[in-house]
Amino acid sequence: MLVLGRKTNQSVMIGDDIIITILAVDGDQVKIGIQAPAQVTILRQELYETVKQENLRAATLAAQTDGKSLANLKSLFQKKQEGK
Amino acid sequence: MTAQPDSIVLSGSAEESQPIEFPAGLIGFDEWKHFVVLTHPGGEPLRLLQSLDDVRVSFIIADPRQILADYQIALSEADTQSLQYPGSSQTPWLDETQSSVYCILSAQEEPFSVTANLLGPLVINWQSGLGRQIILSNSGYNPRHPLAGNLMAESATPMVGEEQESC
Repeated sequence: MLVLGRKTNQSVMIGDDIIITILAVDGDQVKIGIQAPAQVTILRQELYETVKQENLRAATLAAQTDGKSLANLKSLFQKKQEGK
Repeated sequence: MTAQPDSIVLSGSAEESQPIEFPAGLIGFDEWKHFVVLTHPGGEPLRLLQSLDDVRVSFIIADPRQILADYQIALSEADTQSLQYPGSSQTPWLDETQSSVYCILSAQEEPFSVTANLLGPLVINWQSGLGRQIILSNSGYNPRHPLAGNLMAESATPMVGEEQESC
């Protein structure tokens, strides 16, 4: 991992069109600004990890879901529709 | 790209016979890019997202609006480009013959519970044959939205989907 020291309002460039600027530092909280082309996806990493974990969990469980669970699963939706 | 190994036995009929390519894979599953949406043996509104790359990989999916009537998504430019939607920030709900939005369900035994991942829905553009899992940053949607408890509550959730600003 490349490690760079930066002060407030200093920036780092990644490639030609991504600029990351340190806007403020307050204790262990750092506020950063990111300029990047619109087609670049920018995410908090923990959101990515959360969805990854859910995918893993869902794939495993889908394979294990038996007939009884399916009936239960479907009944959840039927309740919903009756409730409308 | 749509090669389908002989060993795969499809348990339902393909709703849309066309295989869907997820160029980036699903999040955390980037080696599995080719899927087909099948009717689920459990019946409507459940569907099965079956991997064509690995027969063991499948997901139970459903229309998120069956779970939250006012569920909304927002596509970033990266999303619309990846899905090859003409124009930008088109809402895939607008034409259901061309697009579908699904959320992935997780079922669990003992105690039986089901949650829906409303944070990371799947968007499929049937016209381009492309799909993408998106993450609705800042939406506040729950990646484990419980079905059993909240199913009757129409608007149990939060702010409208809102993408991060880049630029």
